[in-house]
Amino acid sequence: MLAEIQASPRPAPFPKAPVRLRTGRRVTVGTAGWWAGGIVLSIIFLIPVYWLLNTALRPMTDQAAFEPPFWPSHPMWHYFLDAINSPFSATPFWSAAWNSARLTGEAAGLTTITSAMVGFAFARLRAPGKRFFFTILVGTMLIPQILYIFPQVMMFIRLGLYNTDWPWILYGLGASPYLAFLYRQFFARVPMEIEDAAIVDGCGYIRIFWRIFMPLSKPAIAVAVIYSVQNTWNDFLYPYMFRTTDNTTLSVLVLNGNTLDPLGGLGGQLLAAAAVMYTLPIVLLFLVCQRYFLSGALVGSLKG
Amino acid sequence: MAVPSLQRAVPGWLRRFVPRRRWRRYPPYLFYLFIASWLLVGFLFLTSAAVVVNTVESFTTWDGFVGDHLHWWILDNYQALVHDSGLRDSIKQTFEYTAITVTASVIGSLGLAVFLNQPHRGVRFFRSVFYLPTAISIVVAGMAFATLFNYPSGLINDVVLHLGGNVTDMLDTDTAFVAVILMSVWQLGMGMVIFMAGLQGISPELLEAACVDGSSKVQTFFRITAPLLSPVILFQVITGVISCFQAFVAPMALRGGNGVQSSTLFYMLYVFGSLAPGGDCGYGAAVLEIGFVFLLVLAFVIFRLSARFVYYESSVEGR
Repeated sequence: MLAEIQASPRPAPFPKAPVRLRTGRRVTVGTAGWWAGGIVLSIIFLIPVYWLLNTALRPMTDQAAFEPPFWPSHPMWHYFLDAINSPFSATPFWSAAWNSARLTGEAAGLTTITSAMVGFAFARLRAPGKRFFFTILVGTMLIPQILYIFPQVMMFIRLGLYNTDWPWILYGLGASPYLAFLYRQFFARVPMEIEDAAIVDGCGYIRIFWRIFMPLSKPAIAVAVIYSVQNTWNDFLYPYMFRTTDNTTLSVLVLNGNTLDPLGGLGGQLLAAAAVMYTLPIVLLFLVCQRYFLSGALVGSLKG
Repeated sequence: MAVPSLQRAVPGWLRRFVPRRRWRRYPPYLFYLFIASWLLVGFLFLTSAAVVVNTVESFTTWDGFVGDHLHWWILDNYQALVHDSGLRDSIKQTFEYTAITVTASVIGSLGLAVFLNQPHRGVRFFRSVFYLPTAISIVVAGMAFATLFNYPSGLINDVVLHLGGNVTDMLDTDTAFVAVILMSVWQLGMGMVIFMAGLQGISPELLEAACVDGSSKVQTFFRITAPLLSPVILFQVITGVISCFQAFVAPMALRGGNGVQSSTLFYMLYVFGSLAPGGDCGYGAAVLEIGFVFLLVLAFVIFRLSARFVYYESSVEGR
């Protein structure tokens, strides 16, 4: 019987991709054209970033000049150090950097956990009213945060939370509907048997969530962490609205610097250097954990 | 679990009034325990309370300072909205900006996704390059575009000078509007990634069948790929409209906080201007209320539509 099954011819695999003749590493005309197109597009995409870097490295005498050189002849690397010591705003550079890092940690850390809890509830638990709250969750995804910011400023001032870390902690506790969705998709795929086995062993649901589901969903956690770190670090609105200018983050410091002394002025190179330094951590993070950034981009498009 | 003893103790006609104790995997309130944080802080406090505060505020006149400078001014704010030409202009500009930006980014990101979907080496490299602008902060993106459009040392002025034109301060004129659009389109990485996922979801058999039937690449794209991607395109348009509606930081980042040109005075910036403390915050709240109503209506329409175009993946509903 067994031999019979094994002997039966296996169905021929259906060719999934169009059959391409493997001609080794030969560069064809199509590939060369494709590469040329890609390089042109890449240059278009990178020019703004390059010109910012160019502005940061250009000597001060060239700042206001017409037709500055495309390659700065003597890159002024020390402008980066000068930018740290230069007073763009009432907040010193390092304390703004610390504010950025601390608030990012608070909001991202909390969001990662609370969104996972919401995702777990919607994927694994049943209760009356679940469908109703799911509709609300989806609905809140469609209305952008910026609309709530203005009334929130009033609320935070009244409650004495203005210029503290509390808005970020509250945002963290409030969870992100997008990430809750991501986790829900992830948790829904975990087999029921794992849950059953844990219950037989006397494990409660809080422990099932924390000791089984969370360790199982490390990829989802990585996406959630990267997504919320990127959003909080890059964010301008919350620090601008919820903090005073002498106790703010790098994003506001950079933009305020542009307000006081717009680019193109004599201090432009220091401002550009500060902007480059502000965005460098996120660029490095992107180069290292690109996969998670790209999955994070798909978070919003998850269905179900 | 043990058979409920109380059930046996009472006479038969009473038994159905005695609650039966069944074994449960978890107490029924556990769901609410898990979503409590989101429900109380995220939904009730940060969202619902904010909407209520704004709505109440929109019926008052108030200078925005904490204290007793609040007066009820029923409906006058809403009457004033009708005659506010600045508001009308800002809404018109936001619509123009949205229409151009959404069209350009959807076409651009679809084009890039198709480009990256070709079987060549180096796809991952180009993908990272195209996505990089999306990863960086909009503040830095604005600064980068400011250096391009700058007076006089910007790259664009450089090119204009070489072509024999005159150097102008582009960010001080209506060109700022173009700069904001270019900047928003530049950050199209998210749409590109979503389209790439959509393209990979199209079964190769279908494309092969078209190829066998003698369809050219262009025909295949417009007759097969694009229709199959239509839900993704619709999704992109909707999210694009919602994100363009929020345009606030982009014009500010381009010229610092105080240099926003009238051509880029979008709706959100108009709201911000009218909500500044010292002005009439009640009126500003009424202006903001338009945004809430618009997006709630949009959300409702999307919900109605999504029943038709969204494919719901079956999932474990929990036991």
